[in-house]
Amino acid sequence: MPAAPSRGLTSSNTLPPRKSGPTTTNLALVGNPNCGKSTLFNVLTGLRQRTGNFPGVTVERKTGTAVFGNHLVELVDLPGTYSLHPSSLDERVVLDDLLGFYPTGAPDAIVYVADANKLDKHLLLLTQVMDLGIPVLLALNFVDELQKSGEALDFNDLSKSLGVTVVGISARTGEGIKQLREHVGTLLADKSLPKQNFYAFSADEKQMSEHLATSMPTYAPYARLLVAHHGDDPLVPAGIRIARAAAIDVPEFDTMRWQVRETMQRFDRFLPTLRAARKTDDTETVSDKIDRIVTHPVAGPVIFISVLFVVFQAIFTWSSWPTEMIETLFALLGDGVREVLPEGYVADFLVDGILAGLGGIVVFVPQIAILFFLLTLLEEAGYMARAVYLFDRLMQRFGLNGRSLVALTSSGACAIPAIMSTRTISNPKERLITILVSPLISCSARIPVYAILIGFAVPSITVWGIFNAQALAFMGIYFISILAALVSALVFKYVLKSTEQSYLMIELPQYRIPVWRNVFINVWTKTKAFVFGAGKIIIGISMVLWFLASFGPGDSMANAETNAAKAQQTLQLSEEAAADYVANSRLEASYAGRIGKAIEPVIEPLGYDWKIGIALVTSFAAREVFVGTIATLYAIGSADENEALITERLSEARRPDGTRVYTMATAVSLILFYLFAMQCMSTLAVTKRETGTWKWPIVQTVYMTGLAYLAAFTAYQLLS
Amino acid sequence: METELPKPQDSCAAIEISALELVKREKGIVCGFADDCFARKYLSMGILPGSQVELVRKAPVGQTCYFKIDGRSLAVRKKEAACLLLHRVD
Repeated sequence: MPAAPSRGLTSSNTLPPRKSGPTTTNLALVGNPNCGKSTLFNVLTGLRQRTGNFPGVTVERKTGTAVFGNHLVELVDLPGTYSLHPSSLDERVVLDDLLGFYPTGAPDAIVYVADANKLDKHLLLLTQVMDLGIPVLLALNFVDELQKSGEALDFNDLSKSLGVTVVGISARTGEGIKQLREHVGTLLADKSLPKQNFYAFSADEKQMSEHLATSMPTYAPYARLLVAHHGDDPLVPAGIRIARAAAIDVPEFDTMRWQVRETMQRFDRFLPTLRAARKTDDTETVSDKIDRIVTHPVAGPVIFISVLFVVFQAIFTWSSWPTEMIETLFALLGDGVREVLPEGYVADFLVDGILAGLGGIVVFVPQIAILFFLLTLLEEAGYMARAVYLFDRLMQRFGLNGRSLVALTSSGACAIPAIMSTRTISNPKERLITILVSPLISCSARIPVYAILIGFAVPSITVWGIFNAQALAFMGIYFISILAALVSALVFKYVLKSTEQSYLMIELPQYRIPVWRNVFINVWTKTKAFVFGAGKIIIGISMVLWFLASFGPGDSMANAETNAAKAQQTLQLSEEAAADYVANSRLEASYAGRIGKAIEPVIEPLGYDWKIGIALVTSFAAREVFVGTIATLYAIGSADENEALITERLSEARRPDGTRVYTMATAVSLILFYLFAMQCMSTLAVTKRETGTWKWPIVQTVYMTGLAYLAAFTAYQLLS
Repeated sequence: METELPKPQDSCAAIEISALELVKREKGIVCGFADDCFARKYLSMGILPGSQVELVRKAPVGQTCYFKIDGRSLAVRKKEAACLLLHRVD
């Protein structure tokens, strides 16, 4: 995000004008969870939106551009919150953004979105926002439902008593959006402030606010009071933090009590203005009826597991043909490049470096898009909150959250969309643990590796009359991966510190028919974010790997080639076998080959030779590369990655002392290694993107690969 | 410790039970909170002294509570429910 001139609170004319033009204005959407804010955001910005993170935290920041009157507006969709007194990270982000502590500055104006049917709950935050000294407009959402239920709401009356413009809208149907645009245009033009200080300060609070006036001269008194309560954040400028530390060092400052009193007073002041405070409705709604089944202690979990099964199945089956098409397309592209360009490093670099990297990203797009499509449907319909309710306690025991279950299941297809789906977990520790353990669940990329190795580890016999031993082994592998993920989560639960209190207190919203616009925009922006965000990193690593496999120190590569050419003549190989033989020798002499040789002492206790070492190195790009590398190394020819042929060749592989390389012990050891090791740069790239630092991808690599080494070592030593 | 709250008129005088002690389909009226931190969270969600709480059901493992409060459905952890103080209504 470029720095924007911040009008409003931190008004200053020393800031440089923003590049996109002097008329760009910052507008924030603020409101309670489930107020329909995101639907409104999608209506106003369409596809002109970006997602990123708030600086320093993993909370998603959705921004987009829209035009209101003559104003080109940069709109930010702030996370839903109930109060400006934050109790979680995403609520903290709202406070920091509205107080202008981010480089983008405070918003120039706020559109406050409230559910017209729940004004008795949704106006608390509005009264706080009104006290910040920023122009505010109240958009009353779901007015269509209000009309249906026959309730009358006098907007003029409400507008008069609150002192802000009120516009009735329905973000779902588009009703009132035109008027909203006009009113926002007017608000941005005249910048009229709401009646300040809805809240009447106590004498102590007044004194506190005045104490901070010298260090925060441009801020409204309530903004200063909020800093007194929550100004211990590194984002807050140092000057203000020091003044705040001095100001709150008085005996009468009791942050919890003051917050409780303030909240009570605000309710006492606005509730009477809502003429008839809504009476408690005891009639059973449609949502209640659905919930009787969906959240039933027995039926609920069964339904959830069935839903997950369908999602999982859909990712596998729906994505298979687009994935194959993408693979074929990239293979064709590669062949095309090789035909057009002369043989050499340029063609190799384009095909094996750039195209392979690009293909490695695009191939995940169908899975990611399908997963997000289905998850967004469930979320939009209101189902996800129910799943959280059902499994929160169970997941909590492992340091996770009810929502983690969704991510862990998605990992069975691919860890990338799984990690991206953790954004719905608001507690940062629970979210981080989910991200860290998700890649342990065996993903679809490991299947070809297992398929080859299981043949060596388990004979294809029938046990207990009906089961195929190899199929049982497959199931066992999945079982071990789930167990490993849960146990690791438990360990992280005790290792990681968390300052954030963990809350559930989640509203179970009414079931609704999904808004298709929201679903498609969500799938589009998230998929785009993956391709461009993680894509850069994946292409980078893939180019490095290409370099390592294509070059060797000095003229070792050239020597290897000449020697191989000589040797293959004496061996009298066929043309194809000769080419493979040369390729094999080149790989052996390359940096990757040298790394393989160098790590041989380390991997020897696991039962691996240097050739497997090379496969481990190249598998870092992606696990499925194992098959291709092994094919090249054992001179099978990369054009024909036939599993039966690979198995046959591997069983012939011998060590220098004549013993077989691929025994049952080696195979089990390799399976365990691939089961646990972090060997997917795409996942690492996504972890980096989602956590904002390289620390967590490194932790992930170290702990998973360490676990892999230990397991493989133990298995090999016991079995050989 | 009970939070001193500026009490609205219909708030009760004596605490009888916490929301955790409600049986299925039983109702209560909020009259206070046992913990300032949770109190703040409840208040910000508009759950005030005088709000009507009904226990709808409990989740199978660990008994996360499903309450209906002032016509709105809410899932609450056990320890969070324990701090919501109520008096019974018939």
